Amino acid sequence: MMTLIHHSIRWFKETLTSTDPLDQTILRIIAAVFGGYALTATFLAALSLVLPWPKADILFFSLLFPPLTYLAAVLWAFAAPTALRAWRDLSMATLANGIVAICATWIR
Amino acid sequence: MKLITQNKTFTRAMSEFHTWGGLVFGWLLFVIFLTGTLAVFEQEITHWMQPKVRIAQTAPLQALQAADQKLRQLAPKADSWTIALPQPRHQDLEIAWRKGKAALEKHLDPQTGAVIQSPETEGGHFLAHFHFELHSGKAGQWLVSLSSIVMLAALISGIAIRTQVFKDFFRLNWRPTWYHGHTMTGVLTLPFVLLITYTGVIVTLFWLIPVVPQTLYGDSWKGPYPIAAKNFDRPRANAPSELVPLAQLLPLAEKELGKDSISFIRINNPGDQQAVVTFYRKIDDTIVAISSRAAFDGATGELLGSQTTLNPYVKLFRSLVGLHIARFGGYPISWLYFIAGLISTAMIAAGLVFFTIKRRNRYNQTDELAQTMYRAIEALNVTVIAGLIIACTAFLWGNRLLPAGLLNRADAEIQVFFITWLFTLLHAFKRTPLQAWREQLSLASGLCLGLPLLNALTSPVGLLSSIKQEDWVTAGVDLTALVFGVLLAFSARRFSAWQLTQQRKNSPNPAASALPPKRTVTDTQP
Repeated sequence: MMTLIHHSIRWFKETLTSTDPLDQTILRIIAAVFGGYALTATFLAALSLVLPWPKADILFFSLLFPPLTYLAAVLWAFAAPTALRAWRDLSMATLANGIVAICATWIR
Repeated sequence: MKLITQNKTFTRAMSEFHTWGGLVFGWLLFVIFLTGTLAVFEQEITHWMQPKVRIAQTAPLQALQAADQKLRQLAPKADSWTIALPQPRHQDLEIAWRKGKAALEKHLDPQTGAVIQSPETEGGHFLAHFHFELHSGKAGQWLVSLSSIVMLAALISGIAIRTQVFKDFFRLNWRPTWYHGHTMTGVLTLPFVLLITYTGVIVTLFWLIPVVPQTLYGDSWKGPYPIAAKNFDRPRANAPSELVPLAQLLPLAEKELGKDSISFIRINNPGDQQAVVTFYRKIDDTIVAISSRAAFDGATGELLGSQTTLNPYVKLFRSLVGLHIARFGGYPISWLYFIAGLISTAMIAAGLVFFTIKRRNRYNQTDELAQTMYRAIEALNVTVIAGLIIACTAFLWGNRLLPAGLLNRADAEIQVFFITWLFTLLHAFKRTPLQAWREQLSLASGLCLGLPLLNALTSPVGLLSSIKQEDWVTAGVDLTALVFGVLLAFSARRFSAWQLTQQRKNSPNPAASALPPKRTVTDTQP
């Protein structure tokens, strides 16, 4: 089991740091599509839990943002110097949103 | 120094994204933009596709009486009835009812109350739906949403790699090249494309990423409608009670919502003690695309309540939707959206063509695999651009040519659309790019020019008779088809000419361009 995890991590690292242009492009596309989804979903979760407004207000206000967060993710996925950077930054942003969402739930 | 190289890699990344992302999603975006542009006139196209449904202008009260009588006669035991009153842009009295999962709809003549036998058709509704879900449900909505995000990203990356285009645009430095065709139309419609893409993708992503409903409402979520506006429906009592005449309620509803403003009526549990009659106000005079409403007790005729004001955020959301669907402002706004939509569609098309023009001479010298790939890209360009125009026109031809009594006729019309499109794909791969462009654009032009003729031969609402009847909606579709036909004929000719000159200019050896010597405008010029 441990070796399997170890292997997958190594495979993942090697693929992410591969300099083959095709690998890089595929990694960027995956980062754009799924990273964009993750970033948007966590951002919405954080936003909806942080805003101290009536539910209906939050519901119809929050829908202004998904296009913008998704757009930001797609742009960064392709503009980042390397695919690794794109993955790292999108994961960090998603994680940060998740932490905000969890903290907001605790405080409630 | 470091900044400069960083800037350079950034520009290159953006350029590559714009080129390849623009190509792959450009095909989808062309489809989305063209069908969306046509869907601006969804009601008019539906009207054209229902030549039997032509009614004289009638007072809403009389239309409502006719509908009421027919529904009591045809569907006394239904779960719900709906009545769509005739509107200026779509003169049609439509009744529908629902019992369990079964639903039926009929067109009525408001003056005689008789059912109009109209051949089944999906009408312009097909184009409007294809526009945002590509006839493939949720998967289609995802594709459309991602394409829209890429559209926004392509605008930003396009501006990032070529700031020069703004200078060219405002100094009127427009040249008749594919590059300038793409960039100048791009700058021209930039505000429109930003607006239409943003407002469109808001709606689809709202349904596709339902995180906020999940965190706020959890399992009690029943969709946004009951939160956005009041619903006055009541559960069935299973105790029969005569429904009050609807015509009696209309003046009361107009007192709440405004004279001559009712466009739609829904009756829940007709014939039950708990029946509710809800009147919905028209939305064609406001940007906020949500109906004010007034509800009445169906058994006693008492006012149950009304809603004419909204939560400001609901108002904001429905205004953005209203800006997208363009039902406000009447024909001036519709034509503005239509023309802006056409220019944006042309911008995407020019970008797609520019991609191949730029590379055509380069890939003539590369290996076979690359040549096959570029060959396929050219064929797909023809299929998506010229082929879709042919398929959309064939959809209208199918409407007039399919037998009236055909089983599942509405689906058959849609099949005509897809089968025609498939044939244009096969054709595009069989012919050389130039032949394919010329032939498909000519066919599209011929279908558009022939449409008024076909209409005159197969229906009583031909161009001359509809002008005589002052049915400008039907005549408008015919006339627009004629204009399209002329533009397409022109572009079919120009297309060959442009491509030939382009090839002459770029190719060191003119004979190597390997295309059949067909006489065109430029051939005869020195």
